[in-house]
Amino acid sequence: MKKTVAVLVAMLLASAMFPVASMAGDAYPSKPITGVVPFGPGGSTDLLARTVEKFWTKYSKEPLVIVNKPGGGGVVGTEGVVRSKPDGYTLYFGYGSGHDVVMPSLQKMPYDPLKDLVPVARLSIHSVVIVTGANSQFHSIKDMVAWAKKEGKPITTAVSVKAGAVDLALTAFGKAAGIKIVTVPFSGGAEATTALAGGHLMIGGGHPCEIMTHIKAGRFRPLAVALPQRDPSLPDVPTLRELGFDVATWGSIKGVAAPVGTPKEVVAYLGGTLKKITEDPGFRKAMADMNMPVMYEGSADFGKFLKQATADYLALIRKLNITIN
Amino acid sequence: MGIFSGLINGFSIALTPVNLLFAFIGALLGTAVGVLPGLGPAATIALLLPATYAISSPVTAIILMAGIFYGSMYGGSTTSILLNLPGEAASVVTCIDGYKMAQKGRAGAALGIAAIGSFVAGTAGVLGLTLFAPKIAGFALSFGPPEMFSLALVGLLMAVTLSGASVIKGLIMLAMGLLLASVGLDPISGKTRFSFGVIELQSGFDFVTLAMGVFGLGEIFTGLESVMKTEIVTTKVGQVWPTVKDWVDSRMAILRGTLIGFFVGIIPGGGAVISSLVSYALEKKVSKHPEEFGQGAIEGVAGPESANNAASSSSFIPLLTLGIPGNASIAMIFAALLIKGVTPGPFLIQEHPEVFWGVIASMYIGNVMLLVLNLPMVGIWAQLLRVPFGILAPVIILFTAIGSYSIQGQAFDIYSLVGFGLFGYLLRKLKFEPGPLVLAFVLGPMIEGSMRRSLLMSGGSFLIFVTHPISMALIGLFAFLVLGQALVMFRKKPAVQT
Amino acid sequence: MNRTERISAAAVVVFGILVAAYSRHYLKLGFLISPDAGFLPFAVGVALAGLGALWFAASFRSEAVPESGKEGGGAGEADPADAPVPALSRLLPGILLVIAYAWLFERAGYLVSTVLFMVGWQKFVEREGWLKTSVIALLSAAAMYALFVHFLKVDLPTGTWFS
Repeated sequence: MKKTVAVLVAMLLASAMFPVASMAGDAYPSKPITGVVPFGPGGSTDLLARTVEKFWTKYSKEPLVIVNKPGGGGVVGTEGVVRSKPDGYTLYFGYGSGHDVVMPSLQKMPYDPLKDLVPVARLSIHSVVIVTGANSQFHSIKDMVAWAKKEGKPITTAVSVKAGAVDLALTAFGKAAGIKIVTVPFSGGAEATTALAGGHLMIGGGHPCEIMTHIKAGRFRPLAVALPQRDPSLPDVPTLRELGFDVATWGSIKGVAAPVGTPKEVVAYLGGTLKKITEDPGFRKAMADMNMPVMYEGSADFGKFLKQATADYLALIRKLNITIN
Repeated sequence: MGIFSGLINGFSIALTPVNLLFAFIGALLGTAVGVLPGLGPAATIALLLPATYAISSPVTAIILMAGIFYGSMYGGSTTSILLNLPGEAASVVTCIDGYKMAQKGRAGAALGIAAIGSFVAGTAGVLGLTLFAPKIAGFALSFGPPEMFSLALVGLLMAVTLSGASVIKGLIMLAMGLLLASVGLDPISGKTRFSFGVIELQSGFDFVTLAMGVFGLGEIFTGLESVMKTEIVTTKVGQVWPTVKDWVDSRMAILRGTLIGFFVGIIPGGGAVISSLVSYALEKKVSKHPEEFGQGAIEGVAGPESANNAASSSSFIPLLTLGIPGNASIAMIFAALLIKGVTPGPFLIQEHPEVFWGVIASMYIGNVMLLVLNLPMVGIWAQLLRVPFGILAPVIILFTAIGSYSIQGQAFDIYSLVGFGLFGYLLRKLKFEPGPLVLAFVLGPMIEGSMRRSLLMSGGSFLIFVTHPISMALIGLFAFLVLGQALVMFRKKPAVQT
Repeated sequence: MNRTERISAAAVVVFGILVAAYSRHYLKLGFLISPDAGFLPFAVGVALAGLGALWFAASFRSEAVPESGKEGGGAGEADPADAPVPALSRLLPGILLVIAYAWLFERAGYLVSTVLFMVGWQKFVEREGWLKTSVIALLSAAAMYALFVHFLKVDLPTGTWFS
């Protein structure tokens, strides 16, 4: 009896001491940093984070370890970061995704994505590209709008998920063009892309990193980009504004954040390290291979940008009168 | 480059000592981790994925991944047969007769036939992949929402055939499975269902948590009922190898399973699970002793296991030729390749022929390695059943709890696991078969989602399900099977009453 | 058949009605040509209520025909009078231990909770001696650490009580 109690006490002490032992000592970072991706492995955010992980040790003495905490459309993992200790050892990868900038306008959140997180840096923007199958009769947005108006028929559109960045952009486009766009939500970008590749829907929307293989294979034809400016990964594709439709969204933003209260010098260190990584030729090539444009912004600029993006999405949702009841 | 010269080239890459070693390590690691209760193939690959980052050559990395993939599939079959713990949807069918065989002291025969069936089907699948990949890749794309709906409907019907004696109880299980699947975010309306404000419920339940709960924990709780100390399955290990009769019995089942698995497995999103269901239903139908199914029929293991493994080979076709990942495990291999700077898809064979052919060659080698690795292990695995209940049961609980936790990193999933365990215990008390429940859970989102998507596409017209040829054929098959079954029951009924 | 079956069948009916009511009340049903979020759950709820009723009815019918007991395997043996009462002496502590494990997992960390769980299981479920209990508990905790944390690098909680 006594022996077991003694052993138990020893165990308790041992597990209590682990964090203490590693925290004592020199300047930040003194132990590996955890990067939380609130989505599953293999998704675009995961790929981005893993690529950063690969180059991280080149510029920092402690490694970055990426962990996936999917669930609740990203909310569960992000909330985990929000509730973690603001010591710079728990970061959130994917800041600016749908559940940060779109979801708060549609439903109650367990935290405030703008107030409870400190932006560290923006890494990339995944724009919304409107595409059609290669066998489609539509060769341009103009063709499509003319057809829809003449026939009076709806355009069936594959989108990754209801009320996500792609769905919003295409719904907004339908309204601006005065045609009926029926968005058909799938369970994620891969499913939507597969259905469109099979020619089961007329058009579709997606992020370049999801659809570029099909564009290069000639299975998809890109028609327009729903960004304010052209997407660096698709420089030949016009924006909707250029085509005369006043529709622009921010797509899905991919940045890094830390819990609010993280010391300024830690945020600066992290932002600086990420800046060096985004300038690394190896990193830029890896990103180009995955069709993710590198669009770095430091903490202050990124913070302003996110506020603007959130406000823009809120305005768009109000305008389109989208609700999730 | 022709197929032949390509293959030669591939083998010259895959047979280098380093790559051979990694193929072996992959198969070994995959089996070792996949055999842990609570870790299905998808979780196994996710956990071992970082190991590939350290390897600089993309060919070697993907060879390691393919080895892990195959190994984890086989490891999953082992836990299904020995401990009634399916790590993925396609193994649920294996559990039914495989576990019954283990309880009767024939674990060795079940494991042996699974290993041989997997080898035959896996190799035939790779052969099919080598010869026809580009020609049949289009088949994967021909399944849009209406086709998926009809396919899933047929799958659901097959799941009823697993329900044992009572059709009413089987249907109740189906309904429960569909209901559990609807918990969480509805992707089509964006509305969260049955979450009652609990944030962890927003993403719904995970398959592994549900399956480990109703199968594994349910079994353990039932075992705890007896005051006496019991063994979890049986201490009878019996003959380790399949007998000649076993082999003769399962020969055709393996062949049929391979064919079904290869073709149905190409279809992204659910091909593997449906192929194992179809194989089981078919074997039961053509069998001379259908009453043995569900009681430990070796064909009920051989057929679905072969289908499952042929499907895992053919699920590489859409990935390698179109760049479309068909399931969660393949999606992770996709990611591993992307990080290595290789984009799977139509250009893979031109841009990186060494990767394309190296992977295919290593799949042949991987299958051989798995057989060599696992046949001698059959005896050792079967000895696992000798571990006393007092140790095996809590260790299984610990593994499944940590396995469930690791999927999303939330303790909530351990509570779900316990809840499903109690539910599974209740089902055993009331003589319900949990198989249809977990299968309906997997097929539910396919049925509901593709039906609503089809109706969105057609503007509300149900004609979409019969104007699409593939969908019409499947609906026809469904109607034929239902009417046939109804006729049989109608003719039987008077006999029962007298 | 026995009373347990009939009570369970009634419970399925009630559960089905509750599901249907929830779906009608909190979710949009849509129409047959445009089903919304509540459509499938509503249909499943109605189906469950119907199936439960059928089950309930079937339990009476099989009582009238006692022979049916033999084809239903062991179902016929369970009569309300001599239904075997499950022995709770091991089941109850077993279930409570798993719940306690889930509760402790993030609070006390995986190591401490694993040790406590194994100690509890050996002591209250298997009634083993202290020596065997402590050996098994420590060995399994060490194995968990080696396997999941050291080898597989799973991010397991170290416990909020200690940080």
